[in-house]
Formats: sequence, C-alpha cells, structure tokens
Amino acid sequence: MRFGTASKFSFSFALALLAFFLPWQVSLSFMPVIVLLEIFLSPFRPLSAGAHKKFLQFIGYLTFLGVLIVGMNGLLLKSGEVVLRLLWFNIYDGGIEFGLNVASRLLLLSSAILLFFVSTPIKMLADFLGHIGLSKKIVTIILLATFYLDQLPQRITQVFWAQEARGAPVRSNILQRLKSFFSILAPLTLSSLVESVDRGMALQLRGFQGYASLSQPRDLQDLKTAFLIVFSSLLALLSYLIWK
Amino acid sequence: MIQSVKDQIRREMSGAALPLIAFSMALNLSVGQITGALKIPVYLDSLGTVLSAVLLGPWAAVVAGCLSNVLAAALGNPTMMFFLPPMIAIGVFTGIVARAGWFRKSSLCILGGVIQGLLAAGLSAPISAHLFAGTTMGGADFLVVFFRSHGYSIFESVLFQGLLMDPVDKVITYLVVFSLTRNLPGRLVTRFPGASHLSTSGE
Repeated sequence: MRFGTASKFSFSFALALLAFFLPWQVSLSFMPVIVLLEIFLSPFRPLSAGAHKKFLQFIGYLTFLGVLIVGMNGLLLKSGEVVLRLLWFNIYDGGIEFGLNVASRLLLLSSAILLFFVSTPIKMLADFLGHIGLSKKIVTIILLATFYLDQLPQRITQVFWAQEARGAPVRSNILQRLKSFFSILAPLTLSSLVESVDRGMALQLRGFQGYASLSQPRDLQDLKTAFLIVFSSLLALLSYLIWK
Repeated sequence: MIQSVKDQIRREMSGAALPLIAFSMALNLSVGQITGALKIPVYLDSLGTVLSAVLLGPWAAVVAGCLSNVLAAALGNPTMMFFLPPMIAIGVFTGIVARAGWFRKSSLCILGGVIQGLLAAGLSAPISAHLFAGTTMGGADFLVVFFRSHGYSIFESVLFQGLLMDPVDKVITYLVVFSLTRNLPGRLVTRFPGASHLSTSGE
C-alpha cells in the first residue's frame, strides 16, 4: 500500500467530511492524532523545519480561536443553566455546548486541510491536480497565484513605506486612511498588471494553449489507497449515522 | 448559444489573461494586509474578483473567485471553500454589469455594489448558518453571536450580519475598482477584453 498525494488528499477529505457529522468529543480527539501524524508519519511530514514550526503555531492559534468561540458563546447565548459566575458575567452550559460543537468542527476541518497542504510540494500538487482532471490552464493559474502570493506581501510593505515617506496620511482619520488605501493599491495594481501582461505575452510566445494534459504517469497503488480510505470512511460514517 | 459561451470562455481565459487571473486571486487573499495596516474595518476580499470581472469578463472572474476561495482554505481558512456560490454570483453579476457599462459612472457603481452586497449576503447566509452555525473564523462572528443573544435564530443572525456589512463592503470594492480602472493608463487597460466597456484615462 502506497501513501502518495491522492491518498493524502483522500485522508484529509475524509477527515474534513467527518468534521460535519461527528460529536465534538470525537472531533477533538482527532486533533492529537493529526499532530502525531504530522510529526511521525513520513508522507505527512512537512517539507522544512520552518513549515513544521508554522504548522504547530497554526494549531496553537486554532486552539486559542476555539477557546474564544466557546467562551463567547457561553457568555452570550443564555440557554441552559449557569455553570460559572465570573464577576458580573454568567457562563451558560447551552452556549458552551454550542460553542464546543462549532469550534471542534472548525478545528478538525482546518487542521485536516492544512495537514495535506503542509506536506505536499507545489510540483506534486500540480501533478495531482492534473491527474484529477483539472485543465492545464487552471493548474497554471494556481501556480502563478502561489508566485504572486509569495511576492505581494513584500511589495505591499514596500509601497506602504514609500507612500508613508511621501507624506500619505496612513495614520490619520478613517476617511484619510481610505484615501491612502487607494494610493497604496494603485501602484501595486499597476506594477502587477504590467507584469501580468509581460508574463501573458511570454506564455503566448512560447505557444502555451493549455489544452494538452500533464504527462506524468498515474500512481495506481496510490489511487487504490485513496479509494480504500474514502470508501472505509464513508462506510464508517454511514454505520455511525445508522447507529445514531 | 453554447458555442458563443465557449468562445467567450476561451477569449477570457486566453494565455495572456492567466497571469491577471492569478494576480486577482492573490489580491483577494492579500488585500487584508493593506486594510489591516491602515486599520480600515472592511474586508474587500472580492476586490480581485471584481477587477478581473471588469477587465476580463464574468467567466474569468468566476475562476478567479472560486480558486482564491480554495487557496484561502489551503492557507488556513477552510470555511472559505464552502462559499463558492457567493463568489460565482459576484463574478457573474459584476461581469454582466461591467459589460453594460456600469463601471463608467460612479453612481451606477454604488448601485451595483449595493445589489451585489445584498446578493452576497442572501447567498452566503444559508451556507454560514447550516454548515458552520454562523461561525466562520472572521471578525463578524461576534456580530452573529450578538444577534443570537437577542433571541434571533442562527439563520436570521447570519442574514442580518450579512445585510449590515456586505453592501458597504461591496460598494467600497466597486468604487475602488472604478477608480483603479479610470486611473490606469489606457494603453495598458486596452490589452484586456473588458476595456471597451470602460472609460479610462485614455493615455
């Protein structure tokens, strides 16, 4: 049994699907499993130490967000009995239960999707997208978008500082700041459009039409594993729903 | 009919348009950095979709919007992946009104933004309410819980929150794109299929 990109995708997809049906206790119990998989199972291991650190930071952020969601709902949704009194505030068990359901769903969904992306290099992702039937144009757009996503934050910071140095009211009242928004966005868009036109011309001059399919052979073992994962998780979900 | 739609898609998704679609996706995802730095309380997360709808057309905008939502899910906000219908509506509606020449006048842009906002709020409310119980890991979640604490159902709370915020957000988005397309050099804008429906600086 081989665990390639398709199997990883189907595993993450199955977890994301289960997040909508499982009770919060089960959903939350998957969280340590996901972290352990990311650390110990080679197909799910991130590409770099930096990516691993970012993954753990993101899990921490998600946990904080989950606590916030539970707290906010417990405080504001006045259903059920008061389980805790904090100074003038009452925390209700109905709100906590609701918050736990929502937060656990979001936690499992987010970490399942992130587990796939943190461990899949761009090239493997592009091959996989081609194999599942996406056109070459769409794959090219996604790859170009990842390039822009890498470049834009740095460019935004540069333009922001340049406009601030020119005296743009970036820290004034809200109307002035809205005007500054345009003074940052305009040069950013202009430079990116010029670059887009150049890149588009380069693609056309190289005869890119985007009709041909990707040439990498399919990994049949990986596809079998992927099918097995999706089938068994659907079976488990169906059994759970019948039992419930 | 089908042939003309196919031709239109082929024209909007030509090799030259692909980098602009990619930039629009990246803009959708990165604009939060600018609004965050300037501390402006708006999302403008469909700015790239609207820009590509105006410069390229509805189908390119639908691709840009849907793919940016999928990428947003990959970057840590998985709920975005389920909000494809509002993004499709934004792309199609903006593409149609841009072709009708609404991006030539600011007053029509404001009207378009309001209609777009109402449409987006109406389409995203059932998804947000039924799949995520109104919690989508965004700043507006607090508003949903606030409405719920006043006795409204999840669907009503999400809908009220959307109706309160989306029209304002979309009007600003439309006006920003209107100003951008007016101020971009005509020489550059005329390279895109949507240029004939715009009034540019005409450099």
